Amino acid sequence: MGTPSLPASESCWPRRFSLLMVSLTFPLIWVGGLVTTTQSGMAVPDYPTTFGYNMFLYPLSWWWSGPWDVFVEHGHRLLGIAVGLVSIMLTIAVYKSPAWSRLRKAVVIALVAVTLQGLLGGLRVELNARLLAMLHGCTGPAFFAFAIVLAMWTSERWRDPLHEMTAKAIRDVEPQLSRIKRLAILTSILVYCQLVLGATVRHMPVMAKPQTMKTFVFFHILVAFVLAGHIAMLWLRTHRQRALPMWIRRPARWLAGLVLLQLVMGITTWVTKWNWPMGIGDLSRSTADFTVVQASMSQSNVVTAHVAIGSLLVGISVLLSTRLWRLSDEMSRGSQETPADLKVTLQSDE
Amino acid sequence: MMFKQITKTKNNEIVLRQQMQSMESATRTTSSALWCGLLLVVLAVAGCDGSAYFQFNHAYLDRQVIDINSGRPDDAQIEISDEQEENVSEILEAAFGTPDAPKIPGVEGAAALLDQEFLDMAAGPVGRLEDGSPRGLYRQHCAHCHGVTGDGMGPTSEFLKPYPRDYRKGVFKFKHTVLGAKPRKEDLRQVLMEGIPGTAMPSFRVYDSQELDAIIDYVIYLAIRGDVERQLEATILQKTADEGGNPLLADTSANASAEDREGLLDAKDIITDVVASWTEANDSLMPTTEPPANWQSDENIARGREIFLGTGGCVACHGKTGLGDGNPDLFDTWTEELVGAKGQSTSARLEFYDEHFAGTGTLKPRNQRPRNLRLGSFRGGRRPIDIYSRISQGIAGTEMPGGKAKGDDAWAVVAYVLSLSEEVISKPSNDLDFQRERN
Ligand code: HEC
Ligand code: HEC
Repeated sequence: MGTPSLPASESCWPRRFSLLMVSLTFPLIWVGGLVTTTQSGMAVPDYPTTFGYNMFLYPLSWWWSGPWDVFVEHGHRLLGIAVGLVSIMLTIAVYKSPAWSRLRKAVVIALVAVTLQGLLGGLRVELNARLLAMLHGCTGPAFFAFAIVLAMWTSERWRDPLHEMTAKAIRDVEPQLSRIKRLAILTSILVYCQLVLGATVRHMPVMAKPQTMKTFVFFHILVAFVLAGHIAMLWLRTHRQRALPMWIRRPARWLAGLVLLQLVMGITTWVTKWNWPMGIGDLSRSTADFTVVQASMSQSNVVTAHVAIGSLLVGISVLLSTRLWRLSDEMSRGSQETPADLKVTLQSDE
Repeated sequence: MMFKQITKTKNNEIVLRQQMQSMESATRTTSSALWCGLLLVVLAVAGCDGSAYFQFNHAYLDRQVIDINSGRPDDAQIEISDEQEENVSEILEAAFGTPDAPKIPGVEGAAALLDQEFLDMAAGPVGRLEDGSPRGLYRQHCAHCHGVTGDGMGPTSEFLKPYPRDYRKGVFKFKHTVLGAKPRKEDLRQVLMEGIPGTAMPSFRVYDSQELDAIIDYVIYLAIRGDVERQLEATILQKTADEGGNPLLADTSANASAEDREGLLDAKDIITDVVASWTEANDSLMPTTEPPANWQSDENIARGREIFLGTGGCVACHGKTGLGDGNPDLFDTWTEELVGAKGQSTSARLEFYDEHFAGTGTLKPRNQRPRNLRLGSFRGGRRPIDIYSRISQGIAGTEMPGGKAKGDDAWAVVAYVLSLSEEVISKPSNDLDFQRERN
């Protein structure tokens, strides 16, 4: 995995489109979560048509005033199309500018990925398969993370990660960087695994045994705490290392905040779906009388937010890992740098 | 000298390249490990992603076999063969269809009780027809807890407390009919609209009224089917115990003789009776009296307390203070079938479960605690008439008895029970609190 030293791009259109893609993908994932939460996945029984209509020609007023599940599902489809269009535009923009070849490959991969993801979503409807729904739900956040990396590749910072750092800061940071980087990568992997576990709990087939469900729920909770520990450590290390640039420390801080929020959302999800666990609600009068209301606004919002924050955690941890990786790569390149005269000799030698 | 340095740099480059390569392969390994992990999870889930089917009621059958065998000599132990189980399932399927294609059994009264269109809306996989009408409502909203079979053993069931209802006994707690009777559709609708506070059972009040009607019919359908299944199992057991060997209930093949098919008529009788018990629910409304004037007056509450502490016998379970600490060893009807006989300690009764049922896929029995009446949370509804139903009729499926207080007495107890949650108490288990003047 070499690192680009070539300018990512000269034009600002690739950057604009890649940022647009990130900012559209997140709501897409959010609405996608809502599709599952409200179980609207099969509300529109056909694909790519909507109730026999061409997807784009499905009357706006029917969509707007129709049943909620149809609204959500059709909306998810339209948003997906929007991301696809932006992806096409991004590809064109990148190809039109003198961009680094890796970026060119990446935007094509993104375009293929978003198309496949759309097809997967469509297949899920056509075959009405939970398994595909789950796969679709797991590739969504992965694509989101990829979109974030793409956006990073078009950034100024990617070209010159040491820009904001003094020589002293670089010297301070260097010995610890690889450890922090490793931790961040491990955390990203773990966050994604956790997301897959969560998706499994969410898409558990109705015929599954209670013991199967219980096992997955158990691991989802276990990994939640392991992950919280990981992120706390990551935050602590980056927090202590003041010489690290803000664009490393800030995402770590976000991760720490979000994982706390996510723990709270996880518990809230349980309570809004299944009431208090093991009858602990009976411990106090204020909690004893709680009734779960299926598909209430608060329930849907809590559950969907839990899912969306999960994707955000994946996105930010991948962002942080990639940045750390880029930084350490640039630093080791710096330290391996041969004296100028030698370089000349070396080059003339070849 | 210069040459040496150059080779050193070249070496450095090689080392660097090697490092990069190893890093690359490390990343590749982790990512492939990740995908393998994901694939495993997917496969594990896919393993059970097959179509839905009704699960056979093994637990009930096994329990009956244990009970029958315990009263028989060693050389006369009975055993139910797979073929016999198959036979019961076939008869059931012929009468009730499958989770994807439910049928209303062709017996008297069934078509008046259940609506085929409703069953179709509630059954099958989740989705909508081209005309926009919903399908698979039960699997969408209920099966995760109550199970596709209605056995209360859906995927989510195990970590809920209390466990979701097993419909197959045909017993429901919260209703306004007399104790032994089935609930009316209105009673089920009330449960669906209000949910059951303090439990995982949600309120479905945001849903379309017609969708709820469809689900209610489907719940009754599952309850009837489950009840019939139990009775068919009991019948085949009886037959096995009487005749020896492994007799079938009836030959279900098309070319069987009239005599071999006779068992089907018995099955039909069973179904007819179960359907009739549901049809009768509407005529089995509990007798109610109007609450007397000033029924919530202090005097009446005091009278209610006397009954609660005395002739009502409530203290035996709910405790003197109403905290529900009177009897921690109760089991409900559903778990009674999995634990040892009454009259032993809870741990002895659970040992029976461990010996015979642990690992068979049943949910581990838990004691049912009498309600803490000071929490002000009433699972069957908080309206006075709801609590009146519980107290005058008892709660079906639980040890909570009815008939201890009638008419005005029952209303006095209702008043007392309602007043309990309004009492402010700092140390609830304290007898002083219990005697303290109410303001
Ligand atoms: C999150 C889990 C959950 C879901 C989803 C759920 N239930 Fe329940 N249900 C329960 C639990 C738990 C109980 C037992 C409460 C008790 O015993 O007090 C219950 C009890 C019931 C009862 C028995 C009420 C009585 O009077 O005895 C009925 C009927 C019922 N549910 C129907 C449904 C239907 C129909 C649906 C779908 C529309 C549904 N439930 C969805 C958990 C659930
Ligand atoms: C044999 C034990 C027993 C006795 C005696 C008993 N109860 Fe109960 N009671 C229970 C149990 C168990 C429950 C919980 C049922 C459940 O969770 O579904 C309960 C629940 C209740 C509830 C709550 C109903 C609801 O909707 O949540 C009330 C009110 C109540 N009992 C009142 C009384 C009164 C009044 C008496 C005396 C007349 C009484 N009980 C006698 C066992 C008993």
